[in-house]
Amino acid sequence: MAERAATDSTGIALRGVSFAYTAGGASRSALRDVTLTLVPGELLAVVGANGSGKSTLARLCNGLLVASAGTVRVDDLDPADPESTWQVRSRVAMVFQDPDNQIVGTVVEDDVAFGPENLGVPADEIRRRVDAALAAVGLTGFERREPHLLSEGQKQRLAVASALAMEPAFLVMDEPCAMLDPQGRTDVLALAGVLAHDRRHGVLLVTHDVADVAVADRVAVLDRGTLTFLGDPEELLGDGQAVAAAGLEVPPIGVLAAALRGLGFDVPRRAMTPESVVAALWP
Amino acid sequence: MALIIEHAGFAYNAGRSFEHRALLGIDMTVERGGLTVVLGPTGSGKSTLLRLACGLIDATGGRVIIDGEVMTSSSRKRLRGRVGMVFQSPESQFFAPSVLEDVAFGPVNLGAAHPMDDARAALAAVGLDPDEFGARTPFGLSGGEARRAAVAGVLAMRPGYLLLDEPTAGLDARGRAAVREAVAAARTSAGVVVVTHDPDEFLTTADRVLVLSGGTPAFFGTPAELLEAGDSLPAGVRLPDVARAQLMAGERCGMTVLPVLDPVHAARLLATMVGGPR
Repeated sequence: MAERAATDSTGIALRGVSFAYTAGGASRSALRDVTLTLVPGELLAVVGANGSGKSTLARLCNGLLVASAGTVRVDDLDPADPESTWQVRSRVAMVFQDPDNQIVGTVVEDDVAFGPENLGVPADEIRRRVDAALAAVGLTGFERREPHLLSEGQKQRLAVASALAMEPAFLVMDEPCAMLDPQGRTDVLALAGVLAHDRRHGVLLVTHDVADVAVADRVAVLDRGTLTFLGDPEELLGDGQAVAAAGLEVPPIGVLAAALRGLGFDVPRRAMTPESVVAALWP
Repeated sequence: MALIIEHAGFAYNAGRSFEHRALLGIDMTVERGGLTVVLGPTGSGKSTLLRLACGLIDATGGRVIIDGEVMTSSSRKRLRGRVGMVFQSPESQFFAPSVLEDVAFGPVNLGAAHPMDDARAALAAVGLDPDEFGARTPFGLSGGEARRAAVAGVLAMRPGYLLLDEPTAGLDARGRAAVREAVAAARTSAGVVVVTHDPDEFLTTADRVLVLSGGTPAFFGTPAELLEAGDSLPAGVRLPDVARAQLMAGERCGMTVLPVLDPVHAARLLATMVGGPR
């Protein structure tokens, strides 16, 4: 079902989108004239410093926020149109930074079943979806475990499973690794890749960690609300100045890889893990 | 002058059927001016250790000694004043209309003679110009500014020891660098303990590292000794990626490697191991 939903889909398209937060008569611009698309089977990373508009962009994708100017379309549906809001939200699932904020079930399988139960999905179909979603995130066997006893990385994967049970075409992940330890981070990034490339979801990965870009097909850089780069992650990772200009930082392992390239070694720009750097030196 | 954790332990719900042992047999010393980094996977007892060190909870075994005095029910209230704690996401605790008033809240409550001066000095120490930031609302600060203002709010109480729980979590590069500078500034007057997931953040400037695993100490020593310990760390604890790359390379070549943390230096070492560029 998830695969069918995904292949029917044309994509999320933002055209000339601006957004301003207003409070007490004052208005603060958060996004200015952003145009980009996310297609099924693609992992698109959105990077930017704190306050660059990343989370605003994520929330525009499923109508949690409505653009002040420009258009947002999800498979040609308008999230701002009350007639289509719910259809849009069933296609675009969100995973937030802190999994504790979105886990509602007392045991793992109840949490995953919560979404489809609310949609009135028949019981045997819910069972199938729960099993499939837990398998997709590597939590088969955890059905009866209590969520608060899981590790943070496992909790984040549970949050992803609960989103997948809604069988969305798109998954928007807003800083999903921010609270995780290194192993949890590795697991969630790998999962984002599998969901896009093997299961053909369109995945939007919002992050401020430049190293995360290495797993993406394309990367968008936001700098104080403006889209300053959209393209190949390798191009961005090879441009230390562009990274710094956006208030971002190449992690030490990336600096090591760049220094090796400077010494004449053929280390790929996507090599952002010790494993990939060493594999490049001893092929 | 030191904060000493002596063979301390803590169990949540001690003596009840759902007792959960969070810490056991922890030894740690933090000198004034020192920086101890506490590493460990989620749930390893890092935050519990900080709560124990600042007297928010009582050790269920062992002792906490501050500047030579044992923390007991009668000394706790007094000793607590020497240990400042910066919780995770401390900016969520802002409440005053201006940054200066928020930072001065601690000294005012402690009956300090010149609380506003203390607040201004603390803001300057963390790199926030009191003239520029003092009158602003704390709710409009950027991530890094907010985190530094929260650290200033604790420093304004002039603690002998400063404990920080994941101080760089959720911050971008600029914010993390600003927090690292604030921590360095705090060391001129206090001993600092930083709990973190990210070994890249503080390892180069720390003088001690404590690694926790399942509530027990897996390592306590200098950063250099930690790098020597190499791959013998518990699951869930990783050395910085730059160090891991060197250890993996050593394995490939059958060489014993003592990793360095500087990435450019590390690149030269790796180049030597491969045998020069091809």
